[in-house]
Order: sequence, then structure tokens, then C-alpha cells
Amino acid sequence: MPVGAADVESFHKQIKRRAIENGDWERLRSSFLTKMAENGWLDEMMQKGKNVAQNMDNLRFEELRSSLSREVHKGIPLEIRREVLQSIRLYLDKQFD
Amino acid sequence: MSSSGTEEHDQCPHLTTEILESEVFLDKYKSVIAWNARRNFNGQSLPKRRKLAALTCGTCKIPLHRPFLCLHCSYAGCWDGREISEHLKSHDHIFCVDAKSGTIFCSLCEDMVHNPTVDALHLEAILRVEEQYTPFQMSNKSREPFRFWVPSEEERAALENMDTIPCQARRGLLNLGQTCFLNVVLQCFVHNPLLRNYFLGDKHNHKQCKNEDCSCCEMDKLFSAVRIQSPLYLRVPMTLLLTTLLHFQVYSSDTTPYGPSSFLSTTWRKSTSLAGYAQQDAHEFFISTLNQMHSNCKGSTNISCNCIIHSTFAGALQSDVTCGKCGNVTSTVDPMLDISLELKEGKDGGDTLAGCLKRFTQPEKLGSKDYACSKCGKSSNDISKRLSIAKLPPVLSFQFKRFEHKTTNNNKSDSAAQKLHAVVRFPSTLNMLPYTSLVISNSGGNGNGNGRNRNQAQIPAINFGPEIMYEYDLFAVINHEGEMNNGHYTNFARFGDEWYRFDDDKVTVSTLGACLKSPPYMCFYVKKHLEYKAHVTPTYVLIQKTEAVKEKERELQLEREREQERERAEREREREKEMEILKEAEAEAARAQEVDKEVEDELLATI
Repeated sequence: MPVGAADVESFHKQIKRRAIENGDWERLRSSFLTKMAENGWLDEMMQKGKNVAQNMDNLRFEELRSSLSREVHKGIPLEIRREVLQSIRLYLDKQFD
Repeated sequence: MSSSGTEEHDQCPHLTTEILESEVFLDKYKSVIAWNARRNFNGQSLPKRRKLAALTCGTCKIPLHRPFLCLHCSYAGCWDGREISEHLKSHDHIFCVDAKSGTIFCSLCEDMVHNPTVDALHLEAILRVEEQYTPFQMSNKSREPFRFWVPSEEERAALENMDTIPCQARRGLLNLGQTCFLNVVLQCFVHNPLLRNYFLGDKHNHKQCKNEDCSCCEMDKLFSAVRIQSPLYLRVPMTLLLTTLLHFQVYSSDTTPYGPSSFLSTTWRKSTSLAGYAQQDAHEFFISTLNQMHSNCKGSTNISCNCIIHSTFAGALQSDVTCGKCGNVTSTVDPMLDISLELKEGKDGGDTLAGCLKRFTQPEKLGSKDYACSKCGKSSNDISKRLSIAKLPPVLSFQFKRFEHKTTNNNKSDSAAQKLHAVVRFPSTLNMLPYTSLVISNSGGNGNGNGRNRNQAQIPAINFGPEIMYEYDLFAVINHEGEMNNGHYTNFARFGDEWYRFDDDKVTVSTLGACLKSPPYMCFYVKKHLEYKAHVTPTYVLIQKTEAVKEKERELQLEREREQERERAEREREREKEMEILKEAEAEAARAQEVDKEVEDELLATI
């Protein structure tokens, strides 16, 4: 059945609210972060951040964050990406039961 | 986390002392932090937690997973879509705070600003909330609530007249003949924050200690040699002082490599198995040194030891044996000073410290013949044993078992020891919660192996407390290159945020990245946050004190008695003197009478 853009937006808000209030958002996020830490990605990104920051003339938070953003997202290993998306899908399926 | 060097950093001129001390600011900031701290613990739902409504962005109305809160009004907003910074600009509000990290953003500086006062506020606000929610804090009051250290008047006065000298440890150690195994372990001790505090705090002064062959004295000497660099003028005789002052810069730090020969000879005397110039195993030397230092310290009883070694390294390992037939679980707890981890079989790489720990704490089937369940008395094939950590030490030391003995034909003398070169990846920060007895004994997974997937909505009955209690930071790594008998030890160690590589006498600046890529033999982690037991004077000290008091009283009593004795003797003498005088007087009187009589007689005779 066709779902309009407005519906998607409303679902998104409701599910996000529920996930935050029930602690599921935090659970999914911290399991993802644990995987990334174990993988060594976290330490690599810290090092990268330090290098970029040292070479910036006008060091400010937002500038640093946006210059790292693309690389950080690219650096997520495929395996972990799949696992996390799977967990999210499972969670979403339950929401629509 | 240190606040040194803030003078060099550009402080935000808008975050004035006035603002930082105003009640409005303090209340708002602390309530935001407390609200966030209460929201979640370790990503697990608490059964009794009040469901706190999620905040919504004031601009885009989407629920906020990472709220930024304005410190001037009740607005909450997202960072990503620039909602919060727009709000600050349009309302002429200056500061907002990231609820999760407690970092303050200044819209005039257009940047995150850092301030040690705010850091302290943040820490305190979080700890107050977490202490309320941590069962082992509140139930039997075994932990002290956190307090900042504020110097007393005496301490302040003592500090005022002190010269500060650097205590950096970037000094190489000379190889005295295949002693790289010794050097790497010593560097790991020297960079150990708890040992550093102990020895640089003069808690074991080698000039005052009366023990013979004392390993703690050797350690103290090492710390002095490596970490304390005294200005040159203290070593120059007065006569030369003036000339030197006039001619060149007087301060010089001794960065020439140090030869730990007395440490080596003391070790040889106390542990003959390590004596001689052959290559030794660093881990063996590490454990041997821990034991030697422990034996040189006071304070050990049958129940526990509070020596510096045990206070720093001692943890406890729990072993749960489950009988498959009746389900009875027998638990034993043993002390441990470090954890030795088996490496994964095969060369398929991808092994991590976490993986090793998972294998270390997984259930293992026991050989049934020897074990009979104490409850149901049956001996079966269905008995499993599982290890977990019952007590986490402040410093966690890991050894990867790289030196394996493979016996051939069951003949031990034919065993060929070989080194396992498997690649192991390890993190710079480590969370030990999943390997603790608290989690493992309660997962109900004993004997079920990897049946339960913890991600599936399993609400635990226990609150584990704040995550930081289980978190560790890496500070030293020992590497071994080469083979079993002709290898070489080097190590990495961290001083503050800087990483250095040590190769005997050669010390070079390095990075965390380089350290993490190196092949580890041993890794050392230190807890991010220390907890303290409520202060209780140890019994042996109490006994000493009461003995001392009794001794004093006895002495006072003796003194009093002696005093009384003296007084009596004094009085005796006084009386005797008086008697003497009286006797004298009487004798005089008698003589006078005699004389009178004689004169009378004389007179009578003349008549």
C-alpha cells in the first residue's frame, strides 16, 4: 500500500521517540560503537582527527567535524555496516507488529 | 583530563568567572548533566527507571537523540541542522551545552570552549547521580562517595615554598647483556601511574628503608634516576657555582641512558632462576618482580594485602563449575595479578584482545571422570567450567601466550618451544564489563554456550553502575620480535597523551597508531576512574598504635614512680639534715653545759 512522504515523516518521529524513550536507541548505538572500537576504527579516527587538527589554521569544532565526516563514514567496514543495518531492521520490524 | 597548560590555550573570554559562579548558570548546567546521567546506564533498561520523555527540537520538532540545551532558556535543539546555533544567534543567547559530553558551545567564539571549572562541575554532577544509582555503592557503603581534593592550610603552606621540577620518564635503559627483557618491564613499571604516584610520593624511601636486598628500594632508585632530573647547579660545588651561573644556562636534564645494574643484581640474588646473562622471559621477570616487591612490603594478612603491588595489580578470578545433571553451580574465587590469554589456533588473523577475553570467559567442558558434583553426586559428561573476573584491579596486565611447548611423542625432553606469531589487535580503551562475574554469572548462559544473544531485549535484574567503572586506558605495550631464543624485546609507553617507543637506550617519539600496530606480547591498562574504600586504619597499624599508647603509659607510670622515689629520697635527706642540725644543736648545748659545769667547778675549787 502506498505510503506518502508525510506518513514516513510521522512514522520516523514516532519510532525515534519510542526508541529513545525505551532505551533501544542507546542500546543499538552502543553495540555499534563497541564493534567499531574492537575493530580499531575508533582509534584510527582519533589519530586522523589529531592529524587534521594539527594542520588546521583556524581550528574550530564544526570545521574539524565536517572535514572528517566523509572519511569517517567511508571507513565503516562493510561487515559491521551489514550487522548494524540488520539489527536496525529487526528492531523496525517489531515496531510494526 | 589534566588542567595544566590552560594558560597556553585560548580561553573563551565570554565565559567569565562571574558567569561561572552565578547560581543560575550552575543550577542549569548541573541539572542538564544530571538529567542525562539518569537517562541511561550502559545502554540497558533499568526495571525501575522512570520513563523520561524524549526532548523535541524546538525548531524541527524531531525527537532529539543528541540534545543541545540552551543555558539561557528552555530551548533544546539539534546540532546537525544548525538549529541550536541559529537559536542562540536569534535570541542573543551565548551558551549552550551538549547534554551527553557536558561540552559548552559559545556562539560568540563560534566554537566549543573548554574550562577546567566546567570540567570539575561536570565530573561532580555525573558522579553524584551515578552514586545514587549504583547498588554496591549505596547498599553496604563499601565505596567512598567522590570528593575533590582541596589542599588544607598546612598543605597549602608547604606547597608554596616548593620548587617544581619535571618528572618525565623519557630515559633509555642500557642493555647490560641480553637484558632487554628487564628493560621493557622496568619501563612499564616506570610509566605505571599508580606506581609513579607511590614512589615519587616518597612512600618507600630507599635511604630510610632497613631491608636488605629490597626490591622496593631498587624501584625507588630507578624512579629517582629516570624521572627526577635535578638542575645541574645542585651537583656543582659552591666554589664553581658563581662561574657557571655567569657563563651558561644552568638547568640541564640528564637524558643519558641509565644502567639498572643494581636492580639486576638484586634480582639475581633473590631469584636464582633469573640469574645469568641468558635471555629471559619478560613475563616471568614481571611476575617475579611483583612477588619480590610484595615480600618487601608490610601490611599483608591472611585475608588481604594492602601493599603497593596488590593495591595496584591484584584482582580476583571466579571459576563457576556447573553440573549438567542437577544444575548446581560451585564457585571458587582466586586472586590474580595478571591475565594470560591463549591465542587463536591457525593463522587466519583477525584475532583481537576482546576475542581472546571472550574465549577466556567462555564455558568449557570438563573431563568428566575426575569430577563429581557436590550436590547430586553424579559424575557425567555434562560438566562445564566458566571463568569470569570477580574483581577488577586498578592496573590490568595481559600476557599473550606466544611461547608454546609442543611435546613430541609424549617425551617432554623432546619438546620444541616455538613462538606463535599470530597477529592480535588491541584497543586503546577497554571496557571489561562483559567479562565480569556480575554479567557472566547472571547471564544464565552457563552451559548454554553462546545460546543467548544479549541484544534481544533481555532486561537485566541488576544495575551495573556507571560504565566508567569498567573502562581502562592503555598505557604500555611490550613487543617481542624474532624467535624464541634469539628475539629482542622493545616497548611502547605513554606519558600523558604522548606515546614513546623504547628500545633499550634508544627512546623515540611515536604515536598511538604505531603502538596499536605493533605485535603485542604484554599490554598494560589502567582504570579511568578509581574507587576508594572508606578509610579504615588497618589492624596492624591499630595494634601498633595501641601498643605505642600502652608503652607511653607504662613509661609515664615509671616516670611518676621514679619521681615519687626521688621525692621520698629528697625528704629523707631533708629529715636527716634536720636531725643532724638538731643533734649538732644538742651537742652544742651539751658542750655549752659541760663548759658551764667546768667553769662552775673551777670557781668552786678556788673558794
